[in-house]
Amino acid sequence: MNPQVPDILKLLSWSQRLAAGEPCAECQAWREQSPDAEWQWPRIALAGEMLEAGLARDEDMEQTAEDVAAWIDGGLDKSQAAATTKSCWQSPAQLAEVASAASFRAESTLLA
Amino acid sequence: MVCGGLRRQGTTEKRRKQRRLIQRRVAASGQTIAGCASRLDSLSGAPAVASTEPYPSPAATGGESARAADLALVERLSRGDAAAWREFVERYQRLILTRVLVAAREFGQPLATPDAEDLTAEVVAALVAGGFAMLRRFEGRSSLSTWLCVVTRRMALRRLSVRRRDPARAADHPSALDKLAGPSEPGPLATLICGEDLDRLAGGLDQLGERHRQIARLFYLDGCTYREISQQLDMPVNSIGPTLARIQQRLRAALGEENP
Repeated sequence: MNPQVPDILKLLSWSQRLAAGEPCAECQAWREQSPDAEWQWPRIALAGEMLEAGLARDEDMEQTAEDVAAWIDGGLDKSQAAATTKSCWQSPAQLAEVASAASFRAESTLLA
Repeated sequence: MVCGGLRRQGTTEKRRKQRRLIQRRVAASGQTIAGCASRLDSLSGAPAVASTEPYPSPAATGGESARAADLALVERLSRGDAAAWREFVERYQRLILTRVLVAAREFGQPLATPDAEDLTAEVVAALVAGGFAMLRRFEGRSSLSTWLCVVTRRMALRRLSVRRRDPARAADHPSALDKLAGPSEPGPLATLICGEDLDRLAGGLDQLGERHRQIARLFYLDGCTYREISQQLDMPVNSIGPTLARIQQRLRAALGEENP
C-alpha cells in the first residue's frame, strides 16, 4: 500500500481544515499529484456542502450503523472496511453520514 | 426595513439556488460513479483507517480496554443496574442532545433546544425500549460514543423525516412523550425519560403484552402512522386508536404507581 494515499477520514479532516480557513499543504500536494483527486475530492466537498446546506436525508444506507461506527474507529477487518469505503464513494448520503460523524468526533475531541 | 427585507429575500433566494445546485450534483454523482468502478475496485484492498488524525483509532490508543468497559456498561444497563444508568446519562446525555441538534441542522430543520430535548428523549426511549434491545446491538467494535453518534443521527433523521412528510400529524402530536405523559407536566413517563430512572421506563414497557409493546414502539418510537402500523401488524386500522388509548392507560398506571 502506498502510505501517501489518504483514506476518506484523512480527506475529511483536510476538508474540515480548509473549511475552517486553515491552509493544508498536504491536501494541496495530493490534489495536484494524485489522479484519484480528480474524482475523490469533489465527492468529499459535496458531502460537506450537503451537510452545510441542510440537505441530509433519511435514506436507507447499505451499511449498518454498527459497521459505520466500527469503520470510523478502525474496528473492521480488511474486507469489511473495504466494503464500507466503497459504499462511501458510491453513495453521497453514506459519505455525508461519515463526514458528519467524523466532524462531530473531531469537535468533541477538541472540546474534551 | 424595506432594504433589510429585500436583502434577506435575496439571501434566501441565493441559498435556494445553492441548494438546488448541490442537489443536482448529488444526483449527478450517482451517474458518474459508474466511470470510477475500476478505481473503486483498486481501492478495495485499502484499510479504512490508515490515518489517525484527528480521530485516533481506539486500537492505537488503548481503546480495546475502553471498548471492553463500554460493553460492560451496556451489559450492566441491560441488567437494570441503576448506577450504570446514572453513568450512561452522565456520560452520553449531552452527546445525544448535541447530536440531535446537529442532525436537525444537517436536515435543514434546526431545532430550538426544547424541541431538541423532546427528540432526544424519543431517541433515548428508543435505545432503551424492549429491555434495552437497541443498545444491546452494540458489539464493541467501536467506542460506544461513536456508535451513539451514528445511531442517534439515523434515528433523529428518521423522526424528522416522518414529521416533514406528515406535518399535520406532527402538529397534532408535537411530542409523543407529551402525549404519553398527559396534560400534567412533567408526567411520570417524561420524568422517567428525562430523569435518572430510565431503566424503569423499560420496565414499564416490559409490563405490556408483546402485541401492545410492538404497537407502542411503532407509534411512539418509530413514528409510524396508524395505517403503517395496521399494515405491519395486520390489524384493522380503526382498532389502532382504541388500542393505543388502552396502552397509554396501562403505562400511566404502571408508572404512576411507581412515582409517589
